[in-house]
Amino acid sequence: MHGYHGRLLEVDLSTGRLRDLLLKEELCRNFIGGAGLGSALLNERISRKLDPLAPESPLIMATGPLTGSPLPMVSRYALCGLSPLTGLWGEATSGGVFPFRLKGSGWDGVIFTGKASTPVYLAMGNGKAELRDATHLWGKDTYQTQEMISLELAQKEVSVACIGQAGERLIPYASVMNDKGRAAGRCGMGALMGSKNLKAVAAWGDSKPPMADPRKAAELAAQAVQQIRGHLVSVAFREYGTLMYMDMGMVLGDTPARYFTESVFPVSQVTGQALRQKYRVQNYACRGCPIGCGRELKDFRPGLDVDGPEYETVAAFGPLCMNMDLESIVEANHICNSHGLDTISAGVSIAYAFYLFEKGVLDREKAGLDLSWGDPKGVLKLLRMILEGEGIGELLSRGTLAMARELGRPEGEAAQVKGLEMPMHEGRAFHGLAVSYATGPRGACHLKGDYYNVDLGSMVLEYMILPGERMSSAAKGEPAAKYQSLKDLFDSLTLCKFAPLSPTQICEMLQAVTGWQITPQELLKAGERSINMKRALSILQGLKKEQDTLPEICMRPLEQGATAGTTPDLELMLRDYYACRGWDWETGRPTREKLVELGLNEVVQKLYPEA
Amino acid sequence: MKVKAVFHGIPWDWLGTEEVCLELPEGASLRSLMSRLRSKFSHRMPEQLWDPGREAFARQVMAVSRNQPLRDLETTLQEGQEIHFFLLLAGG
Repeated sequence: MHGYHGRLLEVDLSTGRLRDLLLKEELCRNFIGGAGLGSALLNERISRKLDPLAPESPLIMATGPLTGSPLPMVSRYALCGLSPLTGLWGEATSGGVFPFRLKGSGWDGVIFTGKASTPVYLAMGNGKAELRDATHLWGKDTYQTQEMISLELAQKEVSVACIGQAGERLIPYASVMNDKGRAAGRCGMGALMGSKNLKAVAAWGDSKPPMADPRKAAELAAQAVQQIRGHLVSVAFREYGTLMYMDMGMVLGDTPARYFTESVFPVSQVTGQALRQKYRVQNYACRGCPIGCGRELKDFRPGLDVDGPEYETVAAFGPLCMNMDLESIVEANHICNSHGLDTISAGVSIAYAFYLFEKGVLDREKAGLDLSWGDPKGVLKLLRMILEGEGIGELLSRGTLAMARELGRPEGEAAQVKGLEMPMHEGRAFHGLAVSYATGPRGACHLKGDYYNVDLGSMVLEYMILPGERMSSAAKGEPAAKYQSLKDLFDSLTLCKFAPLSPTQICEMLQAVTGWQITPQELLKAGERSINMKRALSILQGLKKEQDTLPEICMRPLEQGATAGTTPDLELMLRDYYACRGWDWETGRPTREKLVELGLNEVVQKLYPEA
Repeated sequence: MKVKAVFHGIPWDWLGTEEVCLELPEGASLRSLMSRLRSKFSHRMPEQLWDPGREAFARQVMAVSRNQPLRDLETTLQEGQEIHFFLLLAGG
């Protein structure tokens, strides 16, 4: 098999046993790799509803066939399992150097099951792997952990993915960090690691599986690098990172403010330019990336360099809390990174606390402090209380849905879909995004349904996904479904979503690496297969069709701003989306016919046992 | 008539100004505005920002006015209209 080592490392943390699991080419061709492959592997290991934090609940780390090849923007990996936050299918991806090293270690990925009796970490490189004691690392933050393991292993080129104190404390939206501040942020995969007493995975080596056509791969890599470097958008990402979107987001009404009840705020204080003017910024890149959108802020405090916040983080701790103090936002980002906590879920939960305080549901006594919109000290104090499990922080640490339920508030007030907090793009500003959020395989997800890019002018001609009127719901369901399948596929390949490459180019790359002759339509089918597998896993975990919706607070027409007075017609789009997907309108389940068409026969037996 | 061009992000940095007011003939189009901007800032404008094929800013530069993207280069501008220019980019 080309492009794959053809084996995963299977680690039973309860017994300490490590063994190879051979990968079949058919499985790889159907699910490609990364999160898609992860969904198929999880399906093989789950036959009934499971507590995500139970020892038998698997945690899967997987690279894709392109990882480790000379192609650019492919050093990414996916972390998959059942989400401790949503109880459903969960996944998170990250870039950096770690994915390259993970593949370079000699395996395509790792499957963890069981629970170690004491903290451990997995060290894997050059075809050898062992579990090592991590008792001395427990309680350390993610930066300390990465540094200590690197010193311990004395491997020059070791790269580490680890949890911080948030994962150890099983905070349901704990993240996994690698290469300093790179985050696999969403769905609480850090808590899943923590529940297994698994502190980290350290990987090194430069083992590369053979490619079908190395010369063609090198040629395509050179072309892609040239294309990406010259792309105007790449220049912008390099200059400002994702934060460049902030002012455009506000003008379009796409950046939420005041806990999703407004979209107007003093944007100039929290833009990419503001960050560059205030701090000395140094760019860094994932392995093999010609863009380099990552940024480090030098001397944020004397002698302390910190990772620069991404757009989502700035919006969540900033406008969503009406906090325009950039320094506190950078600090909140650093606290989240060092403790291993998802900045989106944390920011949204904190903003909800501000909202509840304004409504009188929380008061000084219940919250432990006065909360007034825009107070940076309040934001930071609540964040620390979340991490310490102190007072109201314990409730905030369980996310907005748990907050609403415990405080007797309507669930539509909790800004989440299926339990995963809303990202910082508005369904009211881009109606196609609303249906993507409502149906996203892991809950509200801007990365699998960044439909704003479509209606801002991006198009995918191979699939006839064309820009439309952004605040219209007509004929959006079908293109949103196709676009979601395409973006899901990026996490299987595993390819950075900022790579401005067409499906045709991706097919050529995949062919050069794996030897598979695959058309853009077949490629899209692989994305659709992965989406349906994830859907089936969530249904087995209890997902109901009624959860394919947006919370009322994110659908309420706003009084001011670019989207004033409008709201998406979600049912119209959902009907279109379901029809395109082949999902049953009454139950929300993929139909038997659709599952058979996708070759998911074993899923038919699980979803339709009576058949 | 007078119109105002407002630059954000990269266009702001590259052109070296946040906004500029221009006098254009009545009924002038978005393309005319872009053309005037190109003449005015030719010494600063990087090659990548201008698409000679369409005689306008590159497609990745988005013009927004009254909260709506202006996709048609022949859109007629109005007296006092404010047009914002962004680089088309969104991510997490």
